[in-house]
Amino acid sequence: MGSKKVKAIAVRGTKEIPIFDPDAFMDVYHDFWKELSPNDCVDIFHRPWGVAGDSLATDYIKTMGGLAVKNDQGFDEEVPSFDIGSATIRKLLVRPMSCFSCGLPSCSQLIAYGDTVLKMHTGSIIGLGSNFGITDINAIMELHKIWTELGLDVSVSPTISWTIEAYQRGLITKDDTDGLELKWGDPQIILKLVHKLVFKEGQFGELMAEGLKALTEKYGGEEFALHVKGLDITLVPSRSMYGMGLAYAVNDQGADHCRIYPPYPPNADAVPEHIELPFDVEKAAIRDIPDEKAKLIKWSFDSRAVLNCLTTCVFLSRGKLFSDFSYFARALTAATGTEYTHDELMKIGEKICNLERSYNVLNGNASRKDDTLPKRYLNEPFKSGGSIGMVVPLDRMLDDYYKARNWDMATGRPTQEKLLELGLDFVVEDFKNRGVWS
Amino acid sequence: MKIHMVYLVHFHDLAGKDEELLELDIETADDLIDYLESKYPGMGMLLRREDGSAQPYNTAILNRKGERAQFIKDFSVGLADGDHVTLI
Ligand code: SF4
Repeated sequence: MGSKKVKAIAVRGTKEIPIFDPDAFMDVYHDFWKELSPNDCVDIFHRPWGVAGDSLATDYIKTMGGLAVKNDQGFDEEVPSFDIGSATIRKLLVRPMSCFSCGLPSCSQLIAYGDTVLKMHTGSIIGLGSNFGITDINAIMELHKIWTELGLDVSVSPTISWTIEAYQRGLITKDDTDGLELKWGDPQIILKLVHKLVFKEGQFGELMAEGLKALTEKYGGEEFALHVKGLDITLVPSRSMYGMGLAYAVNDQGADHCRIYPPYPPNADAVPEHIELPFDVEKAAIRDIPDEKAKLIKWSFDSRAVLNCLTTCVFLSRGKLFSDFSYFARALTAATGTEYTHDELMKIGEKICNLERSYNVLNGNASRKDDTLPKRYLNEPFKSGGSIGMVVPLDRMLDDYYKARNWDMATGRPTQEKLLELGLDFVVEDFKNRGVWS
Repeated sequence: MKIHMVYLVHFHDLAGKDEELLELDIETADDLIDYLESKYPGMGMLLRREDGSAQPYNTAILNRKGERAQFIKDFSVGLADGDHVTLI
C-alpha cells in the first residue's frame, strides 16, 4: 500500500448484520450496562474516571512517583512543579467525551484552547509535558494541537526526548541538528524537532523519522532510548509498576501498553465466586514486588487478546467484566449461534498469544534476548519520590513468565508440549521443518 | 502533626479545594478520616465502609519522604508529621 501511496481502503456494507438470537443478545447487552453502571461497578478508577477522564492517570502516576520527566530520567526535585493533572483539566473542561455508545462517561475531555477545543489525554500531558520538561499547560495544548494536525501520536515523544538527552550528553552536536541548540522545557525547540522528524528535514530529520533504533545505531545512547523491540514507549510507567515492565518486555509488538489494559489486577471484591483466577489478586496488586506478576500478565495478555478479537474496548473490561468472561461468551453465543463459555474464551486467548509468539519466533524477533526493556528501567533506580529505589527485576519475572506459559526458559520459545495442548499442530510441524527446536 | 492533603475528583468537589495543609493531633489514617468526615460531611464514607474496611471505589495514597508511595488499605496505619495523603 505504501509504494502505491494508498492510505486506507474503506469498505461499506448496505445489509443488516443478522444476530442469531436478538433477545438473548439484548439480555446480555443490558447486563453489560448494569455491570458498568457507576453504582454497581467495583473498580478503583471507574467512578473518578467518569468525572475526570484519563487526565486522572497523571495525578496517580505522579503521586506514585512514576512520572516520566525529561526522557524519564528518574523522579527528581522538579516533579512537584509539574502540577498539571485532573484539577487543571477540569478547570478548562468544555465537556467530557467518550466513544460512541460507550458505558464509560468520559474517557477523554474536550477542553478549551483559544477559540477551539482539544481532546485531551494523559498521554499528551506526560508525553508533551513532563517528558520534555514543559510545565505550562498552554504550551502543552499548543503542542497537542500541532501533534494532532500532523497526525502524530504520543509515542513520538521518546524519540524527541532522547535527542535532547543525547545532545546534552554530547553524543550529537549542533553539526547534526543543523545548528539547533537543544534544551529541556522549550516548546519552540520541540516544534523545530518535530518538524524535522515529520518532514524529514536534512539527514538528521531522516534519521529521526526512522525512530530510536536508527538514531541509536548511528549515535549510540541505547541505554537511554525508551523503546522495546523498536516501538517507542507510550510513557505508561513500568519502572514504578513491575507488572507493566514485564508486559512491555514480553509483548511481541514492543512497548504497547494497551495489550494488557487495565494495568492492574481485578479488585478482589469484583471477582465472582465461580471465577478462579490463576494468580493471587492481593500480591499481584502490589506494584513493587515481582511476585505473581508473571501469572497476572499471562492472564492479561490471554484475556485481552479475546477482547481485541471481539473488537471491544479493553479499557471497558472493568468490575465483574474484568475477570468474568461469561458476559462476552453469552454475547458471542447470542450473536453467532455457536456456544462459547468463559473457559473456552480464555483458551482461545492463550492460543492467540502462542500463535503470535510462534509467528515472531519464525520471523526472528521473539526470544529471551528480545524480551527486554530500555536499560534505564533495569539499571537506573529512582533517586527520590514515591518510587524510590525501583528498577524492574526483569530476569526473575521472565523466568516466572516463561514457566507460567510453559515456554522454554532459555529461549522464550513455545514448547512442543504447549503447542500440541493448544491444538497448534501445524505450528509444531513448521517449527520442526525449520529446525526451531534443534 | 502536619498532613498535606491533596483532593481529587469527588474529594475535590466535597472539599472545594485542590489541597490543604492540616495541623492535627491524630495518630492513624482512621483518625484522619474521622476528622475529614467532620469537616467535609460525606467524605468519610467515600473512603471507609461501615465495617471499617476500605471502599473499593476510591483510593487514598500515602507519600512519606524517603519511602515508596503506598495505598492505604488498612486505616489503622500510623501517620507521621509531614506525610502527604492524596485522595482519588
Ligand atoms: S472506555 Fe474505550 S470505548 Fe469507552 S470512551 Fe474509553 S476508549 Fe472509548
